[in-house]
Amino acid sequence: MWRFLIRKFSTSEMEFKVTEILKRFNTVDSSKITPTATFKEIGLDSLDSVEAIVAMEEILGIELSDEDALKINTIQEAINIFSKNPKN
Amino acid sequence: MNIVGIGIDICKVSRIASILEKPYGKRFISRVLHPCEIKNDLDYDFVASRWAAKEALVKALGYRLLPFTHVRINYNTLGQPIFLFTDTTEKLMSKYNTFLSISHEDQYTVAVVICLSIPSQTPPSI
Repeated sequence: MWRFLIRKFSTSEMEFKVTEILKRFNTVDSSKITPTATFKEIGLDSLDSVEAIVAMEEILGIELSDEDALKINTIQEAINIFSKNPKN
Repeated sequence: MNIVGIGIDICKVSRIASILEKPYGKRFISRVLHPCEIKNDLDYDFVASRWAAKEALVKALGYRLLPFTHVRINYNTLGQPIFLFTDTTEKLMSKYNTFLSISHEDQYTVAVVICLSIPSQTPPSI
């Protein structure tokens, strides 16, 4: 039972969750959301981007190192980096 | 000394307030502030000024991968804000002199950074 609770998200689940979190931001143009799009291209500035990453950490229950968080520039990078880190 | 770059950032304090009031506000603080800058009675202006100063530093350096948690801001004897660098940023920043100015007006905080390269200590060959 506990194994179920701490299991990792599949890539498609992670993609769905990351996308849903980004859509909550008023400045995001949902029509521009693609895996290769950068946070800037979909309408997030630097402050929004940091907020989006900490929101993802909080909602997904995954804590990133500063080093990993700074590597995130595109939606695909967010999906990959959150996927490789274990849930807390 | 040569100018490496100049950086400027403006931050609307209400945006910081909005983030800090969310469930992940504390997580945001621990991603943006140096541990020495974190205290119980953090006000929004303080966090906005730290954000603007560190963003301006990134722009002056042209280096996006600078962890904000390894940079702190203190004041010299003249009351001027100065950057202090720890951990991974200390070695990187040993090559530079930085100058910082911060200003507040109503709902906005502005920071400007000038970054200069420190000339090599090697004496010129004759």
